[in-house]
Amino acid sequence: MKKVITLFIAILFLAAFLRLWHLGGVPISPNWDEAAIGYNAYSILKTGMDEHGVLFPVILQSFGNYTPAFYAYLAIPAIYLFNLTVFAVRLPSALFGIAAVFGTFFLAKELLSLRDKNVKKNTYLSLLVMFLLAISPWHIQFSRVAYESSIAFTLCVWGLLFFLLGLKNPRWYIASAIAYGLSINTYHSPRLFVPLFLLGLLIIFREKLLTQKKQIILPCIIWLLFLTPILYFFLHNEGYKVTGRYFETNIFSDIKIREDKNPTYATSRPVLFSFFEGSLPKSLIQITDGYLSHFSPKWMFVTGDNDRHHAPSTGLLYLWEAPFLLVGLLSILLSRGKFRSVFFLWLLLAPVPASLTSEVPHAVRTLIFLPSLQIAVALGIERIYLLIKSTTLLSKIVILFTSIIIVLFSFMQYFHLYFFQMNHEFSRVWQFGFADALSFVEQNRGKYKKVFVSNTLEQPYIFFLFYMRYDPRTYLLKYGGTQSETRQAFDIFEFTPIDWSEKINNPDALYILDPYESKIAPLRKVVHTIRFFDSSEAIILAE
Amino acid sequence: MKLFFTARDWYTMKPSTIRIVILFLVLIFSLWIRTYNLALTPPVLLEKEERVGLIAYSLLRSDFISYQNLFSQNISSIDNSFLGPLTILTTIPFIKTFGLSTWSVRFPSALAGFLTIIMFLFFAKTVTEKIQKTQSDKQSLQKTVMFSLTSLSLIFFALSPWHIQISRIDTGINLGLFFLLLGASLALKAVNNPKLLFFWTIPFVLSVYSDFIFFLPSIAVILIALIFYHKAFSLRFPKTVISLLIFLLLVLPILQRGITYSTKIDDGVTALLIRNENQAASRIAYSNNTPISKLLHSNQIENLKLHIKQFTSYIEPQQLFVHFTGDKDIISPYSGLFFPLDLIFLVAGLYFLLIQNNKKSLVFFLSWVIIILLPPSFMSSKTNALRSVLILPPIIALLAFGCIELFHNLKTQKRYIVFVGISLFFSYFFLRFLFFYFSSYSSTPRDYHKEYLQAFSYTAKHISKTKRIIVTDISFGKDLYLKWLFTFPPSKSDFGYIKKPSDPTIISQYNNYSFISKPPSHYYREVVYIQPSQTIPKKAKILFYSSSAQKEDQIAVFIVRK
Repeated sequence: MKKVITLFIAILFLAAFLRLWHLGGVPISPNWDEAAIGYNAYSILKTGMDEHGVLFPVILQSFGNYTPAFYAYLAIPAIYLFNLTVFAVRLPSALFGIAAVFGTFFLAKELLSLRDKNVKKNTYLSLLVMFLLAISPWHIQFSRVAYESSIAFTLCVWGLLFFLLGLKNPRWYIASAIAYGLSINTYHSPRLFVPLFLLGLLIIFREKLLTQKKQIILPCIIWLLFLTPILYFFLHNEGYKVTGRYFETNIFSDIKIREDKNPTYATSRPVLFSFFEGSLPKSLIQITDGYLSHFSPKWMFVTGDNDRHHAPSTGLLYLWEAPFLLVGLLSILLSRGKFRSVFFLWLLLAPVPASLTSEVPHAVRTLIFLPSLQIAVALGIERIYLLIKSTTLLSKIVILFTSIIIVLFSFMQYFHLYFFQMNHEFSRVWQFGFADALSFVEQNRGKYKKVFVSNTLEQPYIFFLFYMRYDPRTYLLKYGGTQSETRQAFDIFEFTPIDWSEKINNPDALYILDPYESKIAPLRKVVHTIRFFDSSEAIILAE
Repeated sequence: MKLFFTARDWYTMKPSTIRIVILFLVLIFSLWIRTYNLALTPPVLLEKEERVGLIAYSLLRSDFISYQNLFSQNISSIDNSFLGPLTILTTIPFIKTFGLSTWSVRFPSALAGFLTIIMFLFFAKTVTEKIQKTQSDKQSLQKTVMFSLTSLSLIFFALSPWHIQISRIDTGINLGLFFLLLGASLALKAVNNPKLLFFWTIPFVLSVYSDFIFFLPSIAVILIALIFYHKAFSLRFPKTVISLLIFLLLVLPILQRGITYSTKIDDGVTALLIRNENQAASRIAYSNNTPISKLLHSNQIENLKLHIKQFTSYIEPQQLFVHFTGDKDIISPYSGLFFPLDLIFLVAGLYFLLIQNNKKSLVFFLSWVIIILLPPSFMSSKTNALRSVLILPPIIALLAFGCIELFHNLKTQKRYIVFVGISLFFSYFFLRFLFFYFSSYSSTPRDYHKEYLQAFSYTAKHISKTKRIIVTDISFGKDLYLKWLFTFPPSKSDFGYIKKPSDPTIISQYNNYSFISKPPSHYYREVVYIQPSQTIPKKAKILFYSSSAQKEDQIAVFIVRK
């Protein structure tokens, strides 16, 4: 037991170190979503209102993508303690990441007990699962940025753990309902995943749940209570706040746009065309395509997707995990009982929400895959360990030694790539440069009466609000908060698409532009160039 | 009703006449689907097909002694380096009968594809027998199930969108696959039949002669057979050695070309390897050249990742089963290489092989797939549906096995519903594939060749044969001269003469035609030019424009004024 506790604490420390070390500096810069969450949390802390002047919002309008405000509320204590910094904004995500690693041990133990009653074996396997999640590139990536998906994932882990505990003691169902209820109000994916997953759990454990009929009524009511914000918006004709992000990213709107570009045979053979490529079959085929893309080994182990979702030259899982994952999956497939059902329910439902959207495969929207994959890897390791157990001592030593070297090497390489190379190679994708731009403006404040920031820099106003820690009261009272998605103004700053025919004779103005616009704009002189770490131009400041 | 009854009890009934009739109908249909509209779908010949056609045409018009050139680097100034001699020989009778046309080049391919289906039946039967012999009595497959398995494998193979599309374009691959399956079947048979031991390697030689793609896979399959059945082969050691010597002896004339082809890395991979080297150097420099950074960021590791990435590109589930986007020139993007339902059968096949503890078959299937996919993962930067089609036989066998076992494990009452459901689902996707394959190909970018062909027709009719014509091919690759030669083949055996081009931009020169890769820097009054309309000079006097509605796609024939 002592050994288990020591290992447990050691893994937890490792998880905490990997999630908290250089939290404010790696990744190099907050991206627009992080900056928006941070400033809205700061604004709620100071005024009770978000940047748009909504009092204690449940959903943040942000840039029109209507994200749940739960993360912003979680960030308030950290911002209160550490002021509005990148570290403070990312801290809740990191802490929830550590909590996920913590919870995974107990979850794995409960899940594995559905398969095998050997407590000792399950405990060590659970430690292995916990370790795998602690060093998982996929989980570290999103535990170190202020993304709601990381919080939702942790809540789902705890939700399932409490559900499984509830099978033994129904009082835990209440905790499960709260965790799952919160997850629905934290991120978009759980809104589809959680109801389907709970329905699946109800079917798998129907016999047991029927004996607990009375005890599950209250948790059900609690869970339904968490749906009230969503219901409220729909009843008040504000359903777009819940579905806004969905409409922005779903494949159906994508298909609608492309329908106009259908080839000529669409009109020459309309019946056959709509039978094979009409909206419905096309959508279903695209959903299947998106769904299967999340089982792509290339995506999982080699490339990942968006550069913001992984470290350089790294997939979402370690390459060495691939054979173990395969063996683990096969061993689960061949096993019997409820463990197999719960595992595959989880694994097969995880990509469902993301498969309805247009950018597939998507590592953020499918974070909920974890830690099912780690469980499969751990079981694969167990299987292979049992195989080599019967070999000679020498071959055992050689295999174990080689395996440890490979695992250690992979981890060190990932660690180096993430903490030492990522800022250098990916500063571009992390919207680097706004802090330097602001610092230049502050140093030369007396020189310019007006600073025009081009909107081609992707929501630059939020970065200036964030880095300036601009007083939310002044922003809301004097400037009316954020009024438009394309035009904002405060202090000496104006954020807008720049009309060069009007601005041409403005000697007291400073222009902050992206490199392309600076080449085509009639500028007097470039006064400062901010560069990405790869030496290419990031932001141009010019007169 | 009779048909439905047969279908319902497909896997338990004894081989009956009606089922043989069904198989026969499937074979007829598969031949039809492989030959229907052959000249027009796909609309443009591959460069390789053009070369095969032209060389066959050239040999047909020369004396018999010229046939020795099949083993040389080029025939009649057409590059012959990596064309299988057997493919060219197979094409000759069709060109002799039907003339040099798209149809006559493709028909042997369709025919070889059709024969491969029949050979696959033989292969599947042999494999099934082997599976039966390696299992315990309790688990062994019944004869009727075996018949159903081989028949179903044949149906899956015959209606496979991947095989249908490949059968219509490349004789070498289809011929090679036919011989590879024959070789694999003979290898399995030879284990119990010593008479076959002398000959079992010959089909592998023929597959290499059909296409150099088969060089490594053939050797690999021979090795796998020797490893799997080492006991049987070692019992007849002298015969085995003789068969291997026969293989070596027959492969010898093309050994050099086989090795060169198998180790040739494409430009894309070379560029990626260079990028990895630069990236590694940059990372090491950024980490102040520390020994640990040199170890962690070695370009060898990145190269390995690159090859793994290439390998995994071939097993992308969405590409395989829903929407293949790898080779738009030859594979319809409206379908996967398999149908979506095949994924379920494939998983079921793996599952049932595992629960039946049939590790030998599983290892056989997996090693086949890995061995086929490894070489292109190292040599090619893009997924190549032609090269990887060799994985089709084991996968089809596995998914047919999965399908049979799924039915076997269903309750009798449910089989009706599942059968109807599967048939409807399968039919929908098959018809969808056919609809788009035969109707949407005209939208492929290589169709741009049509515009050039109109220009060539114009010059053939209206321009004197003594006048020099310069063709600028800046649109699609370096095969335009092949297209021209294919469309207007000279009557002589030799296709003209190659001048050593003084201008490095000249790709080829045939009689009065010169093909260049970018517009000329100087224009001469006595020369006729063919080039994309966007690139014509101001002083041009247009003689002809091709008919494309898009101005930027039009090809112009012009001369220049004083």
